[in-house]
Amino acid sequence: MRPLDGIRVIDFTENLAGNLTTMYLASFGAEVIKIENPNKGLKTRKYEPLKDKQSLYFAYLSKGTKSLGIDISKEESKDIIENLIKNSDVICESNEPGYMEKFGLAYEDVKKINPEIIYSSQSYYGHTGPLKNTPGSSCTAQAYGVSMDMTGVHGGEPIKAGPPMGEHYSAGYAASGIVMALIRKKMDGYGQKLDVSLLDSLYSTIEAAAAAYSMNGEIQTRKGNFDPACAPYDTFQTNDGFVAVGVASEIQWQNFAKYVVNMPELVTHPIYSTNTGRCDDYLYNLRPILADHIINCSKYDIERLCRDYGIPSAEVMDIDGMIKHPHIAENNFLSEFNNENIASFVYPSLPIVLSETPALMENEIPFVGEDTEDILGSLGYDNDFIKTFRNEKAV
Amino acid sequence: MGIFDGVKVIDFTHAYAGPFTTLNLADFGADVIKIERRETGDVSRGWGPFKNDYSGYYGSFNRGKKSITLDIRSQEGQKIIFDLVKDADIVCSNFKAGTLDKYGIGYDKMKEIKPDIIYATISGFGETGVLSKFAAYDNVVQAVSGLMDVTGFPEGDPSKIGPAIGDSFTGLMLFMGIAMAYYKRLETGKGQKVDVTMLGSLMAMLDNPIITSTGLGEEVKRKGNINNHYSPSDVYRVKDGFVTIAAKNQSIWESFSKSLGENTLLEDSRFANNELRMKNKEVLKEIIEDLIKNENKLELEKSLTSNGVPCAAVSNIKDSFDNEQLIERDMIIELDDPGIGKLKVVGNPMKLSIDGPLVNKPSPLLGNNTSQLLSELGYSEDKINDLKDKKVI
Repeated sequence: MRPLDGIRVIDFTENLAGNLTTMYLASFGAEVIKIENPNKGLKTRKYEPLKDKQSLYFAYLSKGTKSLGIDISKEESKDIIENLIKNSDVICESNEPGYMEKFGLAYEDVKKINPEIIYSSQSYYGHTGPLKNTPGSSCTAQAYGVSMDMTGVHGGEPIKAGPPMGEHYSAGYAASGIVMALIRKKMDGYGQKLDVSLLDSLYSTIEAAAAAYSMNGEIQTRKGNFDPACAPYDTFQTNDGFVAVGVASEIQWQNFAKYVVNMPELVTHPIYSTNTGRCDDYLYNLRPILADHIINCSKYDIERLCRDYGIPSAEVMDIDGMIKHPHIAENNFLSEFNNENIASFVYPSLPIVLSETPALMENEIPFVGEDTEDILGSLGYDNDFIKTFRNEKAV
Repeated sequence: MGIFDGVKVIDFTHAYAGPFTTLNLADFGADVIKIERRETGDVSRGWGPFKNDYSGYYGSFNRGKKSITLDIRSQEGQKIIFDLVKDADIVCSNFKAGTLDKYGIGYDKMKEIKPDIIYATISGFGETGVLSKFAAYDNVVQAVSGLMDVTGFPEGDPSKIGPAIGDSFTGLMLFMGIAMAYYKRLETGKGQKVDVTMLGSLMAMLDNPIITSTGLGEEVKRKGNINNHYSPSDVYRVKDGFVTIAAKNQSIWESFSKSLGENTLLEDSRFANNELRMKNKEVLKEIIEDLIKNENKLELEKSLTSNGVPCAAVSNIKDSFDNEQLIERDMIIELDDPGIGKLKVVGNPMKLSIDGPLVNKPSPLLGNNTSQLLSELGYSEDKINDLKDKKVI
């Protein structure tokens, strides 16, 4: 039994942010019906990586969902969509603001058909505000969201996050917001609209930067890999790669100086004996002293010594190294997608573990329009009707 | 009216990840009671920025919560915890795996007191495995997960994502899990345990690299600011800062080239279609940067976006305070903090049309609600003073 068993979601999303959202919902038991143009299929079916023309990423995103092949621009499809809306709980869409209106499928239209519907929209900048119709992208949202300004080397160029961070946060917020709206609906019987933007989502990650600027006029910007609040909290180059170290207390610092870098004199140093002193004098003085020593060490030695003395530390692993790390297998952090008709690969398990109603990792994905007959049948349409529509290429 | 109105949360979280979870619960109406260490409180009370010795970090992530100070290892302290849990709905913590069990206040004990409790935890690496005994900081989890290795320029060092997303993304995942468990409890009347880890959460963000590596056997490396699928998409240096531009398709590419007044770009066979532009992206970047190097970032942003080209000046925190979009969407809000005074913090992104976030309450002073909560639980004034003398509260 899963938390969202019995919840039906109509999925109009056709990008990463939206597909991730409905992946969460499907993993927790919702019946997710992807609306696909029967002649084109979803754009996400072409997302890389591809193997033998099959998108592995789409397989991951769509596992456990259904596909209704229907051309929503055709007049004939109106009745079917209306029927489906009447018999569903949630609509998810992540098209540019204004797109759904064109098909009579904006929230204002849809709530006339089903007043209890929960309608989730995801966009770059949001459905309100002066930028709502401004063209955006994954990286423009990161640029406005300040997280990009806070990533990168001191004095160097801003760096975008390796993975599409805005999409992932936006999906986390959208799925959470949908479940909250479901809670409200279950208690009080009404639905509502959820409007999540990548920009707002990214802006919510910038820690205390807003507080610092409003309190002291301090602009927290990129500083490389170190943390402005404690030192040394940083990444260092070694003779065989990189290692991350987090010193956040005085005991950790004393152990680090004495046992990790063999510089006991730093413990009693007039400046470096306090965290404030270490932070204030870090970039140009303390860091080079430590870096000059660590460059001649192995990352494994630094990691081991730190851990022996209670200091969080880890070598910087690449993706392949992480996948093969013994800890990953012991915690089921990875799952296998194994379907001989589609593909085989390994993907990250859903990170949310519910003890009584766990998420399910499916090994099936729908081909375009695979569930059309079943879904139309469940709405009360007969085979003749379906056949006629198929000839008109509406389904 | 908040969706979680009347929902009582006993909140053992501290630092950033856990408080991020309970911030979202408080924003939607939950009664969040923070259990803080006597005298020092949540460790983030010691994190800058400071004003009047009060922490703006703490002030940013504890709005709308209540604070009670307690020694959770003392017997009388635990009695108070059990009294609080009796009519609570959710217990939340982010200690190193197993810490509450060690003190005798783990899930089994809580469930005994309140059978339908939802017990939510965050740990760095999980309860089993070779790394489980180590404490995890954001930078260490960014290193282990491979996130740091795929962020940055190919010729440069691996880069930590500036903000501590190992904490906030994990906190968001826990919030989603709690919402799921609470929804299920409305149906079944049963609680459950919800666990997330920082490592598992960051790995979820690395879904595409993991699938590429395991499905194709390809090595995934950091690629700077480019997009993997279309070109040009990058960060460019201009006269007064940086802009990012994304030509997501052919027609945007054409508008972009025309906006720059450069028909030569359109006529250049090296850039005729996306495939060629991807192949020649380095030289294309040089040409574009040369064309726009004397531009003003905000003027360029205005002229490109008005021609349908996604473009944004890279904003720092100061710039963002002038962003009308963020202002109109209540993403920059001012609190009247009891220690700091006027304090600006980030709003909540979950814009529900009827039951939107309630974000205007400040964070509590340390132990602000101790006496009030204890007297609500039936403790007399004498008893409360006695507990203070014994350093239990």
